[in-house]
Amino acid sequence: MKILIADDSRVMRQIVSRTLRQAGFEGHDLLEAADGRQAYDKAMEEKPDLIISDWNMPEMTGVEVLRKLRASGNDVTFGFVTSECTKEMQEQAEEAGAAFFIIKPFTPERFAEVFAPILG
Amino acid sequence: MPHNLPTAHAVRSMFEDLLGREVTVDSANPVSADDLPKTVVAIYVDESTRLAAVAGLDLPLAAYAGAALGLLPVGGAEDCIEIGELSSVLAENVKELCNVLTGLLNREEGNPRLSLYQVVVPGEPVPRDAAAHLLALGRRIDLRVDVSRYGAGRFSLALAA
Repeated sequence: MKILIADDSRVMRQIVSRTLRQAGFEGHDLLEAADGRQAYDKAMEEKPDLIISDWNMPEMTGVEVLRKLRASGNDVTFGFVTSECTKEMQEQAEEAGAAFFIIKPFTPERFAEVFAPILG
Repeated sequence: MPHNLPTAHAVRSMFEDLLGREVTVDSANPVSADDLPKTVVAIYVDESTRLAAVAGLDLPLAAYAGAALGLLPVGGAEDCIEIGELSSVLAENVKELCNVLTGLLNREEGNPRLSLYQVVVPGEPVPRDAAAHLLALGRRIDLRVDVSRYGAGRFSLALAA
């Protein structure tokens, strides 16, 4: 599968990639985006099967990217990995069509639980 | 309702989960004014952008934790400690670490959410109000944090209100 990891922190993109491997999800094609605009553009151009996105990013927030994708008719599986988590954020994510909400710091076990149904 | 300080156990768990390796903590002396120029200072604010908490990581902890976060060799961290400043990669990693540490301040439902406002690395001027809180007695926790296979340094967290 093609997976897009969107986070403005380079080290966090590395950690998400590493944790996917540690959780047993190897051999996937990993793409990266360093801000919301790049995330949206790569989602439209590269047509990933899954997007794992930070919430707070320059240019567009993660939830703005998700809303824009849905408004464009793109229904890619999309979820959040974020250090901030409020009920309002979770509600907004759900309403926008997010498939999961993971809070940083995360463990390979948490990734396995969330991504097993998606990545098989 | 005022925010509560995280326990030493919560701080340890946060570092362990984030760095993916064993971390031990012990009590430590508070930061002194002499330490400030070599301390990474993270400033957290409430929803009205009022200063709510200040964290400090001394240069050894910032370097070791920054290296551990990116699985970088310990030698690079030791070089930074020796010359007294963080490399750009370690500084970037520590900023993300400070971002994730926000979770230590938002553990309780019902309190205003705090967020990371600014991270000041050694060599940059620390805003006066943040320095004052980090140096003041009061609601604070000071710990020696030892990151397995990297090294130890001091972590301080002071609440402004």
